[in-house]
Amino acid sequence: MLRNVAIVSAHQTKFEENKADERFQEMCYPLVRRCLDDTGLDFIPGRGIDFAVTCSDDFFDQRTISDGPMGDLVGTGRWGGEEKVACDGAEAIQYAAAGIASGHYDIVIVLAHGKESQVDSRNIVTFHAFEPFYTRFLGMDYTQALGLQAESYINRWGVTEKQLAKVAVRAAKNGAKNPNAQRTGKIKVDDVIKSKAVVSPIKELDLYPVSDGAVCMILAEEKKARVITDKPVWITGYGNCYDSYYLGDRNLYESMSLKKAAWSAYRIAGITDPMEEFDVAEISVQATYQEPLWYEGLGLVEPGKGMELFESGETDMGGRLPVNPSGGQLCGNPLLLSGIVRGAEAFYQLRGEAKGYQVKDADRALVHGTAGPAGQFHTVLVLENDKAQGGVKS
Amino acid sequence: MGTKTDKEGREIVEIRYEMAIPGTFATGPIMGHMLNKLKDKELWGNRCGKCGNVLFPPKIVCPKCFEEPTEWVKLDEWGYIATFDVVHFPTVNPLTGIMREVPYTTLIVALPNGGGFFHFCLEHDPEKLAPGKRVVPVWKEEREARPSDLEGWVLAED
Amino acid sequence: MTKRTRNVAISGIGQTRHRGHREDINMVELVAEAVEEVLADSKMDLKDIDCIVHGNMELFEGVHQPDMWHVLGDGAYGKAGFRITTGGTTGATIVCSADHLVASGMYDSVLAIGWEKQEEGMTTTGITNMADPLWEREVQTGAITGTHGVMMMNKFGEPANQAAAELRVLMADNARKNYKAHLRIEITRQDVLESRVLAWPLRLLHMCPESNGACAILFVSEELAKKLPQKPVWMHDHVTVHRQETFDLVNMGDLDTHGEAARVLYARNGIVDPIKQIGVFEMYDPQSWWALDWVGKFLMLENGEQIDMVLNGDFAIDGRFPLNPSGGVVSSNPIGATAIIRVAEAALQIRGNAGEHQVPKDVELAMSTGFGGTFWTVLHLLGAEKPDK
Repeated sequence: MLRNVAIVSAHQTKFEENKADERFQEMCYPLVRRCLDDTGLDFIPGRGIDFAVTCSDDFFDQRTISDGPMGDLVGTGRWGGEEKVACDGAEAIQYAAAGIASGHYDIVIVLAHGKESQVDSRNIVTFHAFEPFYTRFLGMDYTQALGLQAESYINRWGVTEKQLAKVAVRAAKNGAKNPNAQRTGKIKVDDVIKSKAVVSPIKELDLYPVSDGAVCMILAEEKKARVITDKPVWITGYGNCYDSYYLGDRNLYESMSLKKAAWSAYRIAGITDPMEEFDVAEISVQATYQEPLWYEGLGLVEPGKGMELFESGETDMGGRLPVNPSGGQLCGNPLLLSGIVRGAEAFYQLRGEAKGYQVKDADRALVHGTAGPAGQFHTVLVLENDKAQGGVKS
Repeated sequence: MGTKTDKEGREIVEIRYEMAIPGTFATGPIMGHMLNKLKDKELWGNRCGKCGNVLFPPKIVCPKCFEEPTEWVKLDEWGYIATFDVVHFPTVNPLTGIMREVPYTTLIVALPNGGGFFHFCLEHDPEKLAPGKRVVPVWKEEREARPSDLEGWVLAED
Repeated sequence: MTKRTRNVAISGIGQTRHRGHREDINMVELVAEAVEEVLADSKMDLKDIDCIVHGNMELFEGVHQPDMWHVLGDGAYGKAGFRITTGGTTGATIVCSADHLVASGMYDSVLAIGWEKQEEGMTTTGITNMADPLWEREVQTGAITGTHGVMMMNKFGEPANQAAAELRVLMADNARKNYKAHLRIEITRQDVLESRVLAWPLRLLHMCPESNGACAILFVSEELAKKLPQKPVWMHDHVTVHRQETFDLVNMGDLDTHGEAARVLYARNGIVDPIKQIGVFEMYDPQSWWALDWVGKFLMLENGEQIDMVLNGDFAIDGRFPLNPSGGVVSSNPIGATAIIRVAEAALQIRGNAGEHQVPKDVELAMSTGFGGTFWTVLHLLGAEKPDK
């Protein structure tokens, strides 16, 4: 990236199972206000926010051009402009950064929303992500894809359901300290094992719950970022990658696209030992098996050793590299949103603003988002505050 | 229907589908209030405190000023035709999956205190319609806080 | 702001022949056709392309997150990618995206692909679905409306009616020279004026078709452009102007995103006389009445001068100000691709290899637009020379 870009403000809703009393606008508008209040900015191209990037899904919203209703909230009523990223929120952060680094804009607002509760079944939506000639006749949807990948992973590496249940226990435990997290609390391994079967080996508490919510962020180029805030969070590494589409075309127990996305981000940020060099990680775990699998794809540990790393305690709060101090997507974030929620959480951590669940001396964060069936697509970002290595890289 | 073939004479296979994704839209306090008032045969918008424009349908923020509207405003029970369309082209209503019957007439009704919006015109003879003519709303007998509670607009009796 | 970080060139163009019926292939294969052509055109190896930007309107074909499936056809396997979707403006927006992604230094080569397998869905229903389900969706009839026509007739009378029809005839004449175009028909003004009324005064022949098609453009850094065989077409600038979600339909002037975009673009790029300075304009024209109105707005004409320009033949391929030498949207409309086709066609004109529909002069600057959403406009400026930084 040829210009330095920072996140200068980030706000999210509390995530909930069904925000029946709010439309997308009601979820999003207060967040925009809070970001504007934080930064003192207004929607004035050239002297304020130049542009908007939104993130939403036309299918889930049941609205063609689902960025339409967002326009009024991000200044387009005043002849502003906006573009929608129809993929995971971490991609939206990277895309907004590209708009700034290109020189075309200096300040971009990013607004992501999702309401999985609106449709009777989120699986009917993701069923339509499968091609109509073969996979739809098998009744595939993303949840089933998770099941297939989970089976593949546990069979390849001999991981047990009991071990995976611990991932859910920790997510709920971490999330209990996060005021925005949806499903949290003190659950036991037994609770997870006994919870309702969804698609083997995934049970209800292994899987992220249906969720509604929104996130708003403001990104700015260096000079303006420093005027807006004294704690800018720099985007120093980025990468994303597509894997193959048909589940049978790849080994589901490993992730080429995550590896590529991660090492692209690390290379740009100058990172060679992620386990060592990151202080905190916010990664998108939709079902418990993904935690150890993504550890491996991210290069935190060798293939097959993901569960070992988890059980070692090194990724617990207080460990060498705390992962998901927020609780993560397992507590509840709608599809497409996790990556930007992770970004917002990392943002709080790097500014010392994660009250109640702050990781000590967090200066460099790993942010991860995923999209597509069984993790076909991944985005990885590296975020750093001013303290990390004495300043800004790009 | 005959069999379709491609350039090389091979039979083309097509797979028919019908997509139905059932769900429930939340209405929130703003649209929810407006929809509820339809049961009382009333149209309510909200007014931007800064520019004074009445927004209908009501909004969470005035798009021009980016200020929150400060009060609810009951709109007049009549308006003017700004323009109208007699539609001859049948299409499916995505909310019901049912094909609309043609011809039907839509209009943009300008309310004296509430801007302009699209709706149905229940007068189908284009000779009788013209921009500037006064129209009044027709309400359904049974109203359920749905946009369809307002059936459409007819020319006001002189 | 808008000081380009580095130059970006178009070094490859590919598009399918846009057709009403392509039951012989599926949507992935449609995309692959455009990609194969852009690779051949640019002589770039797929393995050397860094990133794919993919866009369409998913509720048309009923495929959720189609970019996932489309890695099979767009070459995104193992590569970076972005999915950007903004309704009718999608094609133009993905060009903005590719421009940002290369100008920013994030990637050196980006392939932008817009596409639509329009026949696999119900177009008007899909468009109606963009309306708020809590109020407008019940009433909206897609994009088929005569209101602009009514307005122009009220303002300018019968000459407007004649000009709209004449403009349509010009588009057909141009499309017959463009073998990629969908509707390549031979019509007269009378044919247009007598065609079936859709929503008066909008008639069938004023209206764009539903097309299946895909278009891919390769964007590269300046360094990479030097190594590739095609004459580079340089990205100068772009403007995206949106409107409110539901606008006050009574105050039509409030919808002039065209004029606003033009004002901003011209001011930033030293354009004071667009008719003289812009060599060719590929304008997004979903119907002839809109085209007649909007070309006036883009050219800053206040008194309907464009009506005379149409009737005088100024917009013809060999005219004073060539408009849509490709035949325009009214000849081909695969919605997810339509706006990127405008950029591709403008670029072909600058290159000088548009073939039979090439304007017979050197084109220094070309403009193209995308349209969609609630009257959004995306305006692009391309040049034969690099922009002044």
